[in-house]
Amino acid sequence: MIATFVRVASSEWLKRRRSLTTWLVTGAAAFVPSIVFLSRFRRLDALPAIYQDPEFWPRLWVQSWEAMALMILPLTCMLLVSLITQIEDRNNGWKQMHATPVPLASIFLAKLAVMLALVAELVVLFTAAVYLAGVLPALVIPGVPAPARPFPLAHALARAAAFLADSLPIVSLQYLLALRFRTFLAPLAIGMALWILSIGTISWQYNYLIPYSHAGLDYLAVEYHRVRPLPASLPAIAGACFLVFTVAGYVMYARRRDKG
Amino acid sequence: MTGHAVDIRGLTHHFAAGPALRGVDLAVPHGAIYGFLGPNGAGKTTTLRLLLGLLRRQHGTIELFGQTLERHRIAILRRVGSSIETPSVYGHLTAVENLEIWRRMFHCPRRRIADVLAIVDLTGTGSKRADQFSLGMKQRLAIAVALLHEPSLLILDEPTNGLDPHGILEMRRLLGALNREQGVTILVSSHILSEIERLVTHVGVIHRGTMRFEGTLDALRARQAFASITTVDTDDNGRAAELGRRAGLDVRLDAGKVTMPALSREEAGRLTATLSAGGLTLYEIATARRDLEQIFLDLIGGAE
Repeated sequence: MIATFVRVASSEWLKRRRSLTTWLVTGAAAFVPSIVFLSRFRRLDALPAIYQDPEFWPRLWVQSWEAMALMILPLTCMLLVSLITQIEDRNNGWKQMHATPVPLASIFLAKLAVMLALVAELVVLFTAAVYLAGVLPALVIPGVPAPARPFPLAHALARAAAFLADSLPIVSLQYLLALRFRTFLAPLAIGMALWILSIGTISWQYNYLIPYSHAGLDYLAVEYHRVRPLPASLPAIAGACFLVFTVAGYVMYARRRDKG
Repeated sequence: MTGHAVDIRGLTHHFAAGPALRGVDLAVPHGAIYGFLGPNGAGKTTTLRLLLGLLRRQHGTIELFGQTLERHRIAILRRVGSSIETPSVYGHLTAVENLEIWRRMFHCPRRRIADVLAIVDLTGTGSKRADQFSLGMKQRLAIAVALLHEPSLLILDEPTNGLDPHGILEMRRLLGALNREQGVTILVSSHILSEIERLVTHVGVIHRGTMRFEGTLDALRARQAFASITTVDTDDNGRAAELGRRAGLDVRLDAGKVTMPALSREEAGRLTATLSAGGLTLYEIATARRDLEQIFLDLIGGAE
């Protein structure tokens, strides 16, 4: 079973070659850090003081993750899932997939694994891009010193892992929707509506019930100490949602009358 | 295990829009090339999709290699190669990349990629993406995918769709060679009899969800002989009919002329002699042969 899963997952990974997923992951990871980097050139005279600040990295981190956690990460998750499932829809691939001697569970989980790997790649690339946005001005602009303290790698990776966990339910719910509708736009439209709802109800005490809000809530809780009472920790809630959506998605997928 | 690679009994299937199949029986012997014929919308693709488990079976039984798909899906699909409707080809990838995807799924050796590319004559496509292929090339790539794991049963749904005459000829040669040289049983659907007439050993004709004929190609040809008629016109057709009956022929009077199942040249010669000996003047003796295409149209109730 594991060997079959690995074979199918490697086959799935090959399918995304030359697709838009690589561009999407790279663009989404580089977007905010690029703006941060370019904005440094607006006030060159203030840069030495900014770079000597011991809080340079925490400030850069908070600044960079704001748009990422609240907007770019959820939207990119939605687009990635639609792009991956669309590969089969667009190329009549489902029927051929389902006529291969491979368990349905392996096909379902292999696609999910590729989606999660891409989101992980996005978070890792974003972390690297934030680091580069921090050190590059010191390397290319004369008179700008290196940051006063080293990059807090352990903290950065731990937070990146937390945001990745926050994204899990978005991926699994979007996957369920993509399998249900088998079009590019319908799951995206529903996802966008839910994401807008999560932003609009960010102050609502039950906002955590909308899976698209988890990264934003995590960001506000850790970076701005806006902690709100939750029935469980945010990773636990995200993990539970992920599990529920994944099981529901698989049951719907496996029981589908028309498999291609 | 039955003597059939495919054995379908009483297959009935309903879509929301209405019934698609009504009690279909279909049996493909091992080693046969079975032509599954019917006009568009007759139920061919629905049958093939049910056969591969792409649609959930409602009524009837389906066995491949004597086993049911519900209980032996993986074992059965290891022995089946298929291409249903539009070719499943990843347009953003090359032919080799497409095959590598399925090679990993089927878990077969890497050398098979070069083998099947050579079989379908796509070896030279190099870095060309599949979305730049012609429809014929996509069809051949889909067949290469179906052949990758060396299946013993090949199920192809209208593989000649969109091919030019040369492409149809090539496809026929390819399938014939696979059957002869590798013993692959082939179930191939088409809505045009003439496209597969020279390829198949067995024929099934489906129309509006029911099987209208199933048997060997020779059995279908026998119908052709039966359906062809000889017409005789003399100065006294009543007496001509009488003489014909005495000669043991199945003679009828139809619109004033004498008709009977098609006669061979020798039989026609003997009848002519009999009529002359009976003192009749022969005005006309003609045989109208019905080709297989007309038989097919008769089976499906005339042209659509």
